[in-house]
Amino acid sequence: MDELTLWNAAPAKYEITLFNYAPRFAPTLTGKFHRAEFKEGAKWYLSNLFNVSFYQVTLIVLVIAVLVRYNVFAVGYLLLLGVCVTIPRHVFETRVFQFAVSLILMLGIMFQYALNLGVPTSKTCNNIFDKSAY
Amino acid sequence: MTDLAYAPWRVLPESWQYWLGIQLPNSYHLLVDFLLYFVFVHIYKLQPGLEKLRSSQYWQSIIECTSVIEDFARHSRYWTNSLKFNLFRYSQYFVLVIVFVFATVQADALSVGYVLFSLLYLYAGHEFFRRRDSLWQWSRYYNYFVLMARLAYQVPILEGSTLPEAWQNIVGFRKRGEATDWVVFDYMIFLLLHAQRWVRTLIPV
Repeated sequence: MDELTLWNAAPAKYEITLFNYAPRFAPTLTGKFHRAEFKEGAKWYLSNLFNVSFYQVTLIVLVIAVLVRYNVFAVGYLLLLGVCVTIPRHVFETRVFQFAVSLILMLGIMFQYALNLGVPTSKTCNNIFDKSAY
Repeated sequence: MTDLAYAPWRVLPESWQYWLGIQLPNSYHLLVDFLLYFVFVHIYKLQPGLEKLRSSQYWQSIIECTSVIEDFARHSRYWTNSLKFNLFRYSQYFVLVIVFVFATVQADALSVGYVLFSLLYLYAGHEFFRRRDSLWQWSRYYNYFVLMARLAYQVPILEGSTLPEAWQNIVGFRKRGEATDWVVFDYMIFLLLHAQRWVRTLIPV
């Protein structure tokens, strides 16, 4: 039998539960909306929201990082995005990969900040080879 | 020792300074970079607890693949199983229609690929259930190629043109700031295609 036939052959369960409930909730569950079970599950998901969806959050933030600029940094981020979606998930979650990417990002941010620190802004000299300005 | 009156790289034209990222950085760019760094640092800290998290019943009830279909001949299915199954069955049509709409926002040669994918995939119908992700991956490769090509076109060596009949506009290359630069739709297609890739994993092979 194909998947659809098997699926339609199975009886549907009409209990109104949000999650597969723990056994301790089972005796009081049938036919009702189990508020306590719902609250417990919702609390768990909200408190672990980043842990559950970190991969998707990473991809979205990477896309935004590429979208806001049109330079070599965007090319680098796009390459990183390609690497993140291509590599197996267990490689993405290794500490080595995370550490390497964090280090590269940190260097990129420091480089951009360095451009702001102590950058000469004199308007009297437009060319470093113009010795008359010194 | 004489101080430099001007930064050495200021001799370059402004377009090259922008392309190489050596202009004074935009504060919004730095905010986004910091946010990205923040996310990666937290994933680095998260990793030790992931195994414990994934053994939780709540993770398994929503995030993981649904049970093998044959099990439903013996056990009742929950509404979450039905939701996953229907998402698996119908999401591809939603994604393809949205991709088609985004592709028709800007009429150029690069967008023709998206239009072709949408029409061919809608025509293929149930072939997708049989071949799973092997057809969708080609659309992701094409989308990535388009993203990289549009970004590489920003190199200052290549001249832009606002004339409608110019080859740049026919192909779909536009410089930043041009009125018809709608590259955001390509990134939305990217996110949609990868969301669809995740949906394909909801039902086990």
